[in-house]
Amino acid sequence: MKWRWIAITAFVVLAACQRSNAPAGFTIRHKPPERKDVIEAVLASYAVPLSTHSSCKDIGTDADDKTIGAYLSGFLSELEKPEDRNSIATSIAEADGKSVWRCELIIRHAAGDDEWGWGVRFDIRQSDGQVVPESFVCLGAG
Amino acid sequence: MITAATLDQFLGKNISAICPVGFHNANDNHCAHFVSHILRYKFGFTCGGMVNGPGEPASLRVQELFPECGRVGFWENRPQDINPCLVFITKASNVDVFTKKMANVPKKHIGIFVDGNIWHYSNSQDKVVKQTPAQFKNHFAKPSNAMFYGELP
Repeated sequence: MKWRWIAITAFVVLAACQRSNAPAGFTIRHKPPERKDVIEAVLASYAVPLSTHSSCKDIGTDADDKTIGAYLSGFLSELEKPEDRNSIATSIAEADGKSVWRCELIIRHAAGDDEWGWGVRFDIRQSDGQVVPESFVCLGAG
Repeated sequence: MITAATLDQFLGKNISAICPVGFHNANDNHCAHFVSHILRYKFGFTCGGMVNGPGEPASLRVQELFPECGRVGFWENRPQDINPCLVFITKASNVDVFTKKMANVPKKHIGIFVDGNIWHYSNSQDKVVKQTPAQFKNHFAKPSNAMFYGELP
């Protein structure tokens, strides 16, 4: 009986630890969100794992990239030369019956044939302004 | 089987004339997108995930096409019987031909090789072009211009 209670307690503690490892949703400061809120929300969501969505599989510039932060850092690091055309595009739209704001952030680069845009799409709940970590989708082509 | 005559029909065309789904942004990279619509590949993430639109979606990412190929290897080692095939260009260290993996580095490109020429989407010109392998080799400067073949998935 004693061992059963120890096992149950250990399970509960383990479950609580796993839950605390999940990235908490960042809360934006303006409703509806502004461009700066989208950028701040992405920066605050750096720890969201790439395993969140199939679109993020093998998306990092390094094979061992495991988070949204590592993925985006790889492409930001390419914006090195001032003579290239670089930009950060954002978009905000109401979605899912206006229950969320669907946001996108795309890092863009163009230097001759080296032209691309890689980024993320994610939701912000309209009710409390919180980013939904499990809504992250990785965008980009090339 | 894809032919040179079929590919010639796409020369000079913008991606808007090729993708029915509506992923046409000129600031995006459409090299794998073009190849995938022509060869009807739907591996991994597709243009249907980028935009909502009608029509058949197609793959978008070079690193998701490479592992789907049959035989792969360095271009100079291409067996003569692999024609047509896919042709990739990137830095050699981004590719592992033994595990068939390619990293998602920005400087990578893909085209379709048939009978001595390569058809690919020029993102700077926003249209389909045809080049010889020697011309294609200049798509990126060294060291990002190592070429690889991939048997059609």
